[in-house]
Amino acid sequence: MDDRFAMDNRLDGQALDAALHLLDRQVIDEDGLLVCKVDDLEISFYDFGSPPAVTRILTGPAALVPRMSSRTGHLLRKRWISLGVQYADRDVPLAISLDHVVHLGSGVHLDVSREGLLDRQPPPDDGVRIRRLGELLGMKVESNHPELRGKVLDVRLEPVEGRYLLRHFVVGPGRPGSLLGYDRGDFNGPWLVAVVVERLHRHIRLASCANVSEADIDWDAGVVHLREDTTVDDVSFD
Amino acid sequence: MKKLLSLALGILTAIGGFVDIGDLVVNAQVGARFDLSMGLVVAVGVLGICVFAEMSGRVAVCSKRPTFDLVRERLGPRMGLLNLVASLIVTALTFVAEIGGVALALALISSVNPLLIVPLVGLMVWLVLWRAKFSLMENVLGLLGLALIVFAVALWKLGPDWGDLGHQMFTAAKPGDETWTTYAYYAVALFGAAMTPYEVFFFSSGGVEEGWEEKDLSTMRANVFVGFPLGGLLSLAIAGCASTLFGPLGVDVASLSQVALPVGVALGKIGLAVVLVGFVAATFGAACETGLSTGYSLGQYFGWQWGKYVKPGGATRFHLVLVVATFLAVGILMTGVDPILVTEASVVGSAVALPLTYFPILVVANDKDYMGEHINGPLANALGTVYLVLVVLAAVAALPLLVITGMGS
Amino acid sequence: MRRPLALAILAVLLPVLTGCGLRSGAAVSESGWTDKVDQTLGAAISSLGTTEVVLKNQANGHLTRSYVVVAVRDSQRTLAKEVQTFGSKQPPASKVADKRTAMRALGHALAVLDSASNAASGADIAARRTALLEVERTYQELSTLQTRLTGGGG
Repeated sequence: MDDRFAMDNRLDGQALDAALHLLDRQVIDEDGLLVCKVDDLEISFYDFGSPPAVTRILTGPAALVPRMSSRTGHLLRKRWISLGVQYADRDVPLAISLDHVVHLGSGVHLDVSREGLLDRQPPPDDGVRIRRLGELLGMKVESNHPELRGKVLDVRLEPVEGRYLLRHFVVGPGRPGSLLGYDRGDFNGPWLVAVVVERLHRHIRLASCANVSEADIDWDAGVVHLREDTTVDDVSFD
Repeated sequence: MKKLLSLALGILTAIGGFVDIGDLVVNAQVGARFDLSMGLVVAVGVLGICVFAEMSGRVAVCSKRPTFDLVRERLGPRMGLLNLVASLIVTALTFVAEIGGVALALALISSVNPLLIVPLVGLMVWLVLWRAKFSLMENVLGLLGLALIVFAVALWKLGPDWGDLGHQMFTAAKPGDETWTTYAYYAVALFGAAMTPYEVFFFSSGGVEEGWEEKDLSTMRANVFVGFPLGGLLSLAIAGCASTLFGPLGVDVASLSQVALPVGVALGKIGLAVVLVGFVAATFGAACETGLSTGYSLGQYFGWQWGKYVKPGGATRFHLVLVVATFLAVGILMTGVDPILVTEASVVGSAVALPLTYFPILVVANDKDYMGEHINGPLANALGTVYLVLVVLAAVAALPLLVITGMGS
Repeated sequence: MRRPLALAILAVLLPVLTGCGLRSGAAVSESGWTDKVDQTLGAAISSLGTTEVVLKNQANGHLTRSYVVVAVRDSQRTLAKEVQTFGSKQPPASKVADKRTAMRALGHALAVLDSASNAASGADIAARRTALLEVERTYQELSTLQTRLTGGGG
């Protein structure tokens, strides 16, 4: 293990959780200098064939501010735009391609220098629609499956060469402490905290979502419709 | 040999850097009013900061991520922002208090009006933050801060009834003319003075600044578990001095000059000179630490390059924050607000804001992914949980107590 | 998220605001007044006591001149602030005379501290000795007064 890195590379693993392992992490360039935070992630939905995937790291106020505001209304986002109505790209965040990510541990390490790195998020190609993870998190889940209740708490990804495929939704009642990681069986730890958080999150489940298309998600109302063939699993890793 | 020297240096700076304006003022106030009946509170607070600092130092070594990175990562951007705002307010308040403390201490040396000294102190602090090397700053100010050991000498020279002091301490014998609510208020203030959040930002960020590795863990532990308790003994000596001199006279401590008085009485002009040097070093060191901490927490929340391990030109936003913070602190002090009052507010604020940073650190210290073999053991977790309950209790009680007692009057 | 947050803020603000409301109430109860007298006279005793220690040790050559000047000035300022708030407080009807007595004593204490400050910064040894004696006497007087006005407490 390279001693620049504090822990093993998650990209070598089978799966990672976007909100728990990637979102809000520090981005670090090839010289160990700090670049930005992972303020949000770009999700691409493809019209034909391939499953949806996380494709870019988004950063800057245009990415962070919408995550601060509540899902409906986006009051803060509107205020943010109104502070600079003359800028055409006020609402377009800065982006880093996932190709540059070489190591994902306690931070996100890139293989390029930070100078002049951040540019605006480009418009999508034909047949691709782009959304943000921040929009998806917290959406209500509608499904016939009796165990799937509550909200999208996280998204489980499978890293495949510069794109992280969306494989599962982590679904559960939106209670505090999900980012602490106790609910994914990741670690044990002070007994009191573990007991409380595990109890709060005992209804959490993993729902397959590889065949979810953009049309299954009502972005304005904030509802995800999961199809009949959704499989449900335990949420802990392995 | 060299390793031993650096170990000794680390411990000495930990002792000298332990006491800041909050400890000076609150310990003297409590000593004068409650004698040593709150000695156990100091002990609990010191053990708390040991547990907390060791954990955050270990987390910083293992994950290479300082405190506020983890706060945002574990609490999300919204709760993290709330946390940032609360911590920044408290840290800035402490920064104001420390700069004011330096000015007051310099005023005692020169008898110049402190208001005239404040801008100069602000300039000096900023210059150190901008130009001085991190280790130089820590070592010089930490070693000079050792001058405060003169409080222990003064206490011995004042010749209190040691049996009495011990009895007060271990039975928590509250003086009859004070109410339990005031007692509780000062207990929370003492707790906040011993366990300030900025110490942890600074400690964990400093670990990253100095590039601690796993092999430095034992040095870090020695600094914490030897240096901090000895620093805590200084706190007790300050309280003991105030109790011995002021207790019988019914004097309340309301100014920094009074904090130094027992040393002058016991040891004369030389003692007074030493203690004033100690004041300047301790408050100046803490001013640098709190100033840096404002930049650390903002930088770590927003992902900017922070720290003194890169050249100022490589961390421009961080240094801009330091400039703004210094200007702000000097501006607040120039309104003529009493730095002692700011100090009292800052220690209570510390008690309120503490759980916000304590909790994420405790959680991450249990994360196998980050910590590997250095994960919290049963003892660290047992103590960690006890202190989690304690800091939450203190945080909840702090503001109501402040209001009910009218800041302890 | 919104509602718990609002509730939390409310939970913090409510005790604070009610507390403030209770404290700033115009009508001072008799026991509240006694506490106030106790506190203010206590501050005067504290300032005089500090000054006494400072002057005594100045005479012994234990303290530097700049320290003495600042320390006495600090005592003066602390007391002046207390006296100012005390002066603006309205006592209950039965305690009007008490307040007048207390105010007179406090005014005297301030004057004594003022002359002590002058003496301490000057070079006249005799004046310093007089000032010290005066401070000691006023300290005793205020202690007696405090006992009398607050019925033995404190």
